[in-house]
Amino acid sequence: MSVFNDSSYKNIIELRQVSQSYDGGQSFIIQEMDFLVEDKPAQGQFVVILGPSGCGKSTVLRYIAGLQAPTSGEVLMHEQPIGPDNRVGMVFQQYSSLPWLTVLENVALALDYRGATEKERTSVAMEMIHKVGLAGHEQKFAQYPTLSGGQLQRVAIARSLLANQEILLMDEPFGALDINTRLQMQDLLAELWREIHPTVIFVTHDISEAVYLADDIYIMKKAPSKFVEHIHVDLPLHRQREMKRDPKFTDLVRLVEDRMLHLAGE
Amino acid sequence: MRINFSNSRRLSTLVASLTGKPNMASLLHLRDRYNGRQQLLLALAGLVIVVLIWWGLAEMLSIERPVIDYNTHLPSMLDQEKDDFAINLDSILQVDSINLANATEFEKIYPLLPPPNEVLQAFPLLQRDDQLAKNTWISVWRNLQGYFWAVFLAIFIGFPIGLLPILRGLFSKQVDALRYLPLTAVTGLFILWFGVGDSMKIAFLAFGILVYLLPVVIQRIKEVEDVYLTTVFTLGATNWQMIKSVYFPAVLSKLMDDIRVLTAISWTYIIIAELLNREGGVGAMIWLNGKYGKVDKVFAWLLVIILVGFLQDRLFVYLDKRLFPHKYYKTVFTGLKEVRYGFWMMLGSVMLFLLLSSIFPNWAQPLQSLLYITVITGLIAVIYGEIRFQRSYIS
Repeated sequence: MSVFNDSSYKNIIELRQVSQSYDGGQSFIIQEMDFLVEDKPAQGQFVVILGPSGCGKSTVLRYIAGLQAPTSGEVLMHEQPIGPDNRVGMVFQQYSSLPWLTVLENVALALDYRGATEKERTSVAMEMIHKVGLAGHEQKFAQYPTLSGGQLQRVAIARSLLANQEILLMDEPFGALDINTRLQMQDLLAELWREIHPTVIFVTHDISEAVYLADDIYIMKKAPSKFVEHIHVDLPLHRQREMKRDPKFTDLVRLVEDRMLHLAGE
Repeated sequence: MRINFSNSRRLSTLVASLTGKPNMASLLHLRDRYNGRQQLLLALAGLVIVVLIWWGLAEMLSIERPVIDYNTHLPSMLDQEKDDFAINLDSILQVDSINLANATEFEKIYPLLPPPNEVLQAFPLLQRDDQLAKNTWISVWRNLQGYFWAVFLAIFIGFPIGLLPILRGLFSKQVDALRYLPLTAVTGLFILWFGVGDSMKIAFLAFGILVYLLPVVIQRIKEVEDVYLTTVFTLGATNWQMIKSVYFPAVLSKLMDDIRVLTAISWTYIIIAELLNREGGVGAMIWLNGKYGKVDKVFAWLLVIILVGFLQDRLFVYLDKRLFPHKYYKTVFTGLKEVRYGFWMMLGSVMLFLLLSSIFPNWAQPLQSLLYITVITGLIAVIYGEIRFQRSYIS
């Protein structure tokens, strides 16, 4: 049991005293940072990380995905160090689908790597393709502009969820989308989350998006990077578009805005 | 009369659209100025212009040669009149000039540039005297073998250098420097190492392509986008799976274009190699015909090279469309799988054949019959897939 844990839930992800230096210990970009996300198996968690550019939000995700190891400190998943056995899918802002594969082949990639038979792959992947609303596109090559930006991000989400249903990392996934698609994708994500209840760790710059999607918002500062604020979003689990007119929602957006501005002024 | 009128109207609008003012306004819209039909028309007109220029030049360079009975024996002192004696002591050239002076009949010949019609008429001669099909095939087969070796070596040397940082650090600079080696300068070495036979020609060509292809392979590996690599990493890919699902397809699909561009250069090298000892092949034929002053046949052979090169290029484009359909099509289509398997089978078996028969020379004979079987099987798979594709396309 970690000292940071004050509930009965186990931790699904934990960063312990993580520091990052790129010049051999002369200066630290991230210093003794702690971060933990609880595991709520039947419900999932939606964690949003906010913060100014260059504060290390993406680096946190890269630690969890195993793309990067910190200079010192520990990154744990289910209290185990990150390694080849616990990979987590990640959705990037850039289109990341392999263009020489079809939508179906892209979504089934993780199953392929695990050595599933073609029949298994197709049935499992098709189910996920239906869930993300890409039915009918499965034989298309996963490239722009054959598929739209929104569709390509759906491929990425479906693919990541098949790699790991428990945790989903998203690094500004809707940043490059136009506003309509962005709103649609937010609803899709909220819906998927209710259905599959993974633990989502979501990095964004959009405060309204953060409040709309999150259970918990963590705000980071930079130089050195640290989590400085935790805001619990006390809205019903079932998020709907009408909620954005709710004074509670607008209050929360304003609160987060104030905190961010306050940080910038410090 | 009416029809005639409307036809001439249409022609005039067509001409106007080709040269019309509104489109010519700016260099901004260079790309879509002409539609498909206009482009075809222009291409035809261009061909006519080139042929006419060619013809005009040929006529300009033609000479009038006196028609003489060349059977006359060389003038000897015995049958000369005394008066002629002084003149006939001179060279044959002088005799020629006398003949020219005395000639009453002339014929037109083209010693430097044959006109198009003579070149066309030379094709039956190629068929009769020069074994057109056989010599063309000799060159094409040498070319293919050179290609196979070059691609094979470029991939098997290039991938380790591109993927292992230690090897990249050690060798990538040398590989780049190799490009500056003038290939014609090493012909002597290749004769020394491989003799003057086929293996020298193939090795020479393979080396010539490899020198260009190897740095390109390494460069293409560097260019593989990070986001693909990080994505498959987070999906749990091992290193080998990463090579298989990202590096290979990303690099090969780009390499196909590079290989296509090299086709043109490869013909230069194969001709050079065939000039070294003139045992068959297009290069040898061109040299021999050139030596005997048969310019029309030289030109005909040149046209053969251009035609083969063009067909080769089309074949590469077709291969690219089938092996890497994502570059051309939006979706996969029926029959694609069969076509792909067929092509990989053909390419793979030829590669394996060349590899094995060079390592174990006495296997070549039995392997060759095996090669025929696999190539034909592959071809059947390709044709079957194509038929399925065409059918689904129509329906």
